[in-house]
Amino acid sequence: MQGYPKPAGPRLAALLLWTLFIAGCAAAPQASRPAPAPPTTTGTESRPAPARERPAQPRPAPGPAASLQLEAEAALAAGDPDRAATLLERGLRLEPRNASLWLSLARARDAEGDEAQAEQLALRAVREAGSQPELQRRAWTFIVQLRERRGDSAGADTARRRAADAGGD
Amino acid sequence: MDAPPEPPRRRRPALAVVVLLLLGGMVLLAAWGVSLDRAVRSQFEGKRWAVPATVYARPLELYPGLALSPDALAEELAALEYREQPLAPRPGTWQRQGALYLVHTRPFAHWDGAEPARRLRLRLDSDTVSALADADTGSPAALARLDAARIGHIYPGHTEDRWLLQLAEVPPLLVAALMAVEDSEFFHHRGVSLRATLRAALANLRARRIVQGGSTLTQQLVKNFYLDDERSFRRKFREAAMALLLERRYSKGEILETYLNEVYLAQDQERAIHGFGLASQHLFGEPLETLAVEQLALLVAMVNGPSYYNPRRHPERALQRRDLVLQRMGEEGLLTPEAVAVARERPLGVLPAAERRRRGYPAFLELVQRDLARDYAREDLQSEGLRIFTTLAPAIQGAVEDAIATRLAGQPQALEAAAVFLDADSGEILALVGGRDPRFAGFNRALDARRPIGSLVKPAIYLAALAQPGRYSLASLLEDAPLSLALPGGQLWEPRNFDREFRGEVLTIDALAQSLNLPTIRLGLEVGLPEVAALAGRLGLPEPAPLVPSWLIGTGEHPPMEVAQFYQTLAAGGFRTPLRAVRAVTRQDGERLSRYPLATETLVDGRATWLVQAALVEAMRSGTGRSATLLPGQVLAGKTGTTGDTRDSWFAGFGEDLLGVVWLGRDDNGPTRLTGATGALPIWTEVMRRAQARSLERAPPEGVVDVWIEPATGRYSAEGCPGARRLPFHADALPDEWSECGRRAQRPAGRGLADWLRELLGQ
Repeated sequence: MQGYPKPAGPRLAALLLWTLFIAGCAAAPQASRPAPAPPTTTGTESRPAPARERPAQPRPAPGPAASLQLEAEAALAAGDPDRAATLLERGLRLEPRNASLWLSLARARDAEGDEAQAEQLALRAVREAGSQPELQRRAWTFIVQLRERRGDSAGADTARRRAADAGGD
Repeated sequence: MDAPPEPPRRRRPALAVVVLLLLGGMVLLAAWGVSLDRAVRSQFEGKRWAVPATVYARPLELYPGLALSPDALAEELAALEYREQPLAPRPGTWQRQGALYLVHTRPFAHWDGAEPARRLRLRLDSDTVSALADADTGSPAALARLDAARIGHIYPGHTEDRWLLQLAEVPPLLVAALMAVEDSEFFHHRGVSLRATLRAALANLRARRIVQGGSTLTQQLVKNFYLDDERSFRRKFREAAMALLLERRYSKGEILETYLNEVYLAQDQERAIHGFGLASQHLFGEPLETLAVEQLALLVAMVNGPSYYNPRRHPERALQRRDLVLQRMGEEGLLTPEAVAVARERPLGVLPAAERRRRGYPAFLELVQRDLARDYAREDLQSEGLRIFTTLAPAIQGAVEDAIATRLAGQPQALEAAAVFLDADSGEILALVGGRDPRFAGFNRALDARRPIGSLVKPAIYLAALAQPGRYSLASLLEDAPLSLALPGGQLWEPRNFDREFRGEVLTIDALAQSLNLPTIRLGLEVGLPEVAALAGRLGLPEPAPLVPSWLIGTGEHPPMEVAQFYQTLAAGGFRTPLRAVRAVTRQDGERLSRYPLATETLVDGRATWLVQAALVEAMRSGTGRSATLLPGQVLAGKTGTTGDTRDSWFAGFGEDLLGVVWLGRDDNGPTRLTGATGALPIWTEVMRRAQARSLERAPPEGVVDVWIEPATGRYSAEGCPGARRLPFHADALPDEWSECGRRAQRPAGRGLADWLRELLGQ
């Protein structure tokens, strides 16, 4: 809308009519745009990502989602889990079998405050991790944290055993 | 006495009268002004703010390794309205040279970030992107996202149509040409141009009637607020006054933008074509931004008389007027004399009415509207100019529409179709067809046709059984023999198999793969009708009431969309992901209003799901889906469904990524003479081929092992034994008996079953 200045042409304002119109218009409210009520807003009030130990991981050959995942991890570290989740979901559309993406998304959801989804996504990471024991272990370890946090010690023990079984380094 | 002269008393009443008259006149005028102002504002706001939501398809993401056929790429680019042009010099153009493509993307504000315009070079080898690079720098690109195709708008009604443009989207040359021809003082006047009005008035006086307009763009806009074309001095005066008011209230930019979207330019039968955006689509089948100079000039030419200069009906007049506009553009210095000369040589470039490309996805748009109706008021969708980013994949949608058209060619007109295709992992709906004519926005069968699903329900029964590993495996033997059930009403129900044969005993995997009714009913009753129905309910097939045994062979009625949700969980290994058609909604300025994130939930055991998947792969290999001609090496899972008297022909199936449900049937519920395998399956197959659905070839989940068994008994066997078959088993519930051949071949002396198992499990 910018870029087109109001006219600075001949002064029609001198006309009596014009003044009268203005007098008439002055009472009318200014044009305003009604705002729709947003149903679900995301992003602003999520809590910052808790600091976690992040073990160095051997990355598989980079796929199309690699750069998205890097960006997502940076966003998560910078306390923007919503941005991270957006990037990771985009990555998962390209590489739905990438367990590491699922696990990163689980962490982003957790940082957004949705622990139930975080656990489900981590379980999905376990499924996709298949023969990658290190990823399996990391996913189970993350599930241990989630379950301990909500006081499910039996569930946490199960997950801990799975983490131990998965091995890895 | 020099008394000060008395003011002449006689004059006072006269002055009072004058003042009173003046005041009265002023009040009347003010009142008129107020009412006129109110009219102007309501008209203008109504036009200006009633910006319907724009709906976008999902953007295509390109990367090396992406399965993409030349046809699919062409389909995507056509949906984006890209033009083929050598060297792809401008955004929105592309060029193909053999396997090499140049694609010049448009800049686009996606909901999750903006993409700049890029010239990409890509290579397609055997229907796969084999190389991707930035054409200008030559550096390879790992990932590139195209802009998202506009697939429609959400309008208040159906009669009016707009292709709304923001001022920034309008080619500056069009605006400049419009001013040169219609209102050269637009940026300087205040709504009316005295000079133009006087010039017109002179001409009108001379002719003693109104022959010339002299209207500014603002006046023309005001005129557009009225439906009729009355030409009187009273109307003129009123319009001039309203134009002055409009200019006082709104900026030149706002007025110009509204004008560009509002001006009446053409008629398409019942439909009035308002605005340059829609007129461009109507005449040229292209968006405004890709038009050539002479096409822009033609649009400007038509402002003066949409029907008089209708280029389809009166090409000669239109050409003359267009050339006049081009000449004016030259005079104004908008074009060089050479450019004018070149443009004048060009034809009108208007699409013949019949060949106009008609794109539209009414079935999908309806789904989008329903999804959004949960969160948004209808008025907001119609008037707030929201941008809706959806999941539609134009190439898949095109493949589904083509496949349905091919299969239905030569079939009776009453045969209807519906289809849902989606991404099994994300739950994103990629394509949706609601009827035989995909352009017709009528009864949306994909969402609303509740039809008996026949054998499509069977996987739920086997899933319920296989979730009890101690009790059932794919090698369990089921009885395929006559069955007679007493129903609550006292009737006797004697179900039969589709082929009316009895096989004695069959393996569980074959009972599902061959869709045998009798073993399935027995199994369902053994597991428990309520238990099976409850599981089906959780998977997305709401329980029927009353629950009767015939439900086990598919008397439950569901629309294709519900079936799709059910199969999504099967395809995604027991993880349910709610189906979605919308990714996000933003305001016009890009501010995000909502995002619909990926959600997933473990619904059924991944091992049991794996076993059911194996049976559905077997169905494609040797069972009811064996007639499908897939791509070489393409391993998919699927299930046919046929209801009594061939009233419904169903197919549901999936690969690693793509899942599809297809239904054929008649609205009057008459017979189709098509089974699932002869009706719906070929459509599904064609889509899976064209979309290059990825094979199911991943490793089984933890806790599932493949075992050789003897088909006749379901006992352990070994590779090389006669008829031995390799089936996946729940690792906790392997067969406990050996076949003779299996024992000899597989079990060396001195080693126990435990050792063998350990080896098998790789521990």
